[in-house]
Amino acid sequence: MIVRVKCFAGLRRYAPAGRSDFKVELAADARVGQLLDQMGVPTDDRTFVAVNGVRAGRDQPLSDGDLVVLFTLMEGG
Amino acid sequence: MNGWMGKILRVDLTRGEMREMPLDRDVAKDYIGGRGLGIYFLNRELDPDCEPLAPDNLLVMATGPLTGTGAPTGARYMIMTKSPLTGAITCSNAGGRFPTELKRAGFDGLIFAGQAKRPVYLWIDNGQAELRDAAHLWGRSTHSATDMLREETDPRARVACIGPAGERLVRFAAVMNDKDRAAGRSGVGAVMGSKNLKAVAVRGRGQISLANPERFKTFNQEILGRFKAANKKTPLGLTVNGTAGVVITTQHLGVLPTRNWQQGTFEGWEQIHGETLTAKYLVRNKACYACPIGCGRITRVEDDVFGGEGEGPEYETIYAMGANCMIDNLPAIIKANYICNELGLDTITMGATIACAMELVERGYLREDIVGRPLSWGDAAALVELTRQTGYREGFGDRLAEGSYRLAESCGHPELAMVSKKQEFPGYEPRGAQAMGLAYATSPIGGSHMRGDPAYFELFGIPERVDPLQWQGKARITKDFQDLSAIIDAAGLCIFFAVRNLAGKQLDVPPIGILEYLNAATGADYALEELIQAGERIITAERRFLTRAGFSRRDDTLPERLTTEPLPDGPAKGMVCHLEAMLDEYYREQNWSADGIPTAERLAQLGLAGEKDA
Repeated sequence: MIVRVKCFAGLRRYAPAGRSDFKVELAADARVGQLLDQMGVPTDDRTFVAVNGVRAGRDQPLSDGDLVVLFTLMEGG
Repeated sequence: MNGWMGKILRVDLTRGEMREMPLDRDVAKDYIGGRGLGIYFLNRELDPDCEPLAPDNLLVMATGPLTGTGAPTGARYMIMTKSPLTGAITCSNAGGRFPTELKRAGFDGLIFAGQAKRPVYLWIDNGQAELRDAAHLWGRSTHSATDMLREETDPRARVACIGPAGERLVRFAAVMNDKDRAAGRSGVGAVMGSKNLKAVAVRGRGQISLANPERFKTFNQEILGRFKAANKKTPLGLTVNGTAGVVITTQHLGVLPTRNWQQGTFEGWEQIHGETLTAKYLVRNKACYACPIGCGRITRVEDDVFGGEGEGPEYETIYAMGANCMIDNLPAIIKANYICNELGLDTITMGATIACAMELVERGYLREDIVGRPLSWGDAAALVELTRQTGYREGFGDRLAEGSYRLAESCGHPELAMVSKKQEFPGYEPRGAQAMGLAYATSPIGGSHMRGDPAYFELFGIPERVDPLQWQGKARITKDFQDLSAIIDAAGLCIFFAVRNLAGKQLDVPPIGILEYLNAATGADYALEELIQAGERIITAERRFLTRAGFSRRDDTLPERLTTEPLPDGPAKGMVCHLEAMLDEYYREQNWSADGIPTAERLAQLGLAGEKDA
C-alpha cells in the first residue's frame, strides 16, 4: 500500500531531501509504528501523528491512500 | 541596590511635576518587580472605583530585577493600570529594548498620575527627566512618532508610545515600544491617551549592578550552554517558525477557535500556519534584548493589495484575524497586523471583535448598511479596512473600537462576545483544553493566556502532558502555573524561555532557575518558598484590587457557548468546559472564599492584611 506523508517543523528532516509532502510504500498490513520505524522517526511524548486528521497511536492500522501528518507539539502564543 | 535600580519616577501630569521616590528594599523583595510592583502601587494609591479614562487613574510602567541584566530574555516590563476595556486591572507586558534602556537610565519604574493639559511626552536622558510638548507628534503613527522622537532627542533613544488608536481612546489600544513590540492588551494605550501622554523616550548609559557577578556569570553560562546544546540537536520551534508555528498543534488538538468560537478546527489552517509564513514571507528573525530564541518575525509581502514590510504576525494574531474570521489569506492577516502596530491596536481584540461582528451580521442582529460594507466570513478585504477604521474610530470602526462585548451588547446579543470580564480570549478553545477555561475565567485581566498558561501542560506537553479533556485535578496545576507566571512577569523574564529552562520539570513548576538568577543579581537571598510565596502574594494582591472594585465569582465566567454548547468538531467534539466544578476547587486551592474573595487568613499569610482599604 502507499500512504501520503506530510512532515512539519522539527520532523521535516526525516522526509526525503527538500520535500515535506511525499509518498511511502508499506506492507499491506502496516501500522503507524512500522511507518515511523521505516522513516527512522524517534517518538516521545510530544510527537504527534495524525491519520486523516485524527490523532493516532503506533498500533493504528493504515490503509492505502491515508494521509499521515507528523509533527512535534510546540509552545507559543 | 543590586538588580533593582532603587528608584521610581513619579510623574504628576496635571501639575507637570516629577519626583524621584526610593524603592523600599523590603517591598522590592516581597513583590519582586514588574507586575508585582505594579499591583503594590495600584493597591496603595488607586481608588478601585475610579473611572479608567479619568485623570485619577494611575499608569505604572515597571521593569523587573532581571531586566537588562543579561539573564536570558530579561528584557521585559509591565504596564499596569485600571482597564477601560474590563474595569479590572491590566498587566500588559512587552519586551524589546525600551525596558532595558529605562533601567540603564536609572529607574525601575515610572508612575503617571493626572492628566496633562495638552499632549506631552516624557524624555529621560540618563536620569534627567523632562516633560516636553508633543503637539507635533499627536496624530502620528507609532513608527513616525518613534522616528521623530529619536531625531529630536537622541538617535539611540528607545521609545514607548501610542498611536492614533490610543489618542482616540480605543478601548483596546496598545502601547508600542521599539516600534513593533506591544504591551497589547486591555487598553493601556487608551489610558495613556486619556492622560495626553504620547510617548516616553529614554536614553540610559548607566550600569545595572549585580550582587554577585561571578555567581551570575557562572550560572548564566551553564543555562545558556544547556539551551544551545539542546537546540543544536533539534532547533526550537519558536526560533524556526515563531509563535505562528503553534497553528498545527491547536488545529490537530481541535482547539483552534474558528468562526467566532463555533468550531475548533479550520479547514484553511495550512495557509495560515507558521511554516507557510516562514517559507513565503519571513525576512529574518528578531530577538528582544538578551534573548537566545528570537521568535519575532520581520516579514515582507509582495502583493498589489496587501503588500508591505513590518513585524509579525504572532500565533494569537493569526487565530484572531485568521481562523476566527475564517480568513485563510495570510497576506491580509499580515497587513492587518502591520496596521495594528502602526495605529497602536491589540491584534487579539481587534480580530475577535471583527469575528463577533461577522456572526452578528450572519444572524441578522447587525445590518450591513450600519457596517457600511458587506461583511461575511472569510472577507480578507473587510479585515484590513475595518482594522484601519477602528484605529481612527472612523465609520463603523467607532463601534468596533469599543470591543466585542459592548458591540454585541448594543446589538442585543452580549452572549456572542467571546470574552471573560469583557476581554477577548487568546486562541485556545477551553472545551478541548479544560484548564484554559479556568485560567481565562480567573485571570485578573479577563481573557488571557499570559497570566497563567495551562496550555503548556494540556496542549504542548511541557513540563509533562496532561489530558486536556479532563477537568478533575486541574485547579491545583493551574494555580501553580499562575504563580509561576507571576514570578516570571515580576522578574522581567519571558515565559517562552523561563518555563522550559528556569523551572523544575514537575507539574508544580518550582522556579528553581529564576531563584538562582534573582539571588545572584539582587543579593536578596530568597529561599525557594519565599519566591513561590511572592508569586502567590502578587496573585492575591491583584485579586484584592479586583474584589475592592466589586468583582467576585460572578465575574469569573465564560460565555455560555463554551459551557453549554458541545464543540461540534475535531478531537474535542461533544465537549463543554466544566468551569463551575473547577472553580470550586480553584478557590479552595487559593484559600479564597467560595465567592472568590481572599480570606482574612490568606491575606494575613501573605502580609496583605495591613494594606489599606479604599
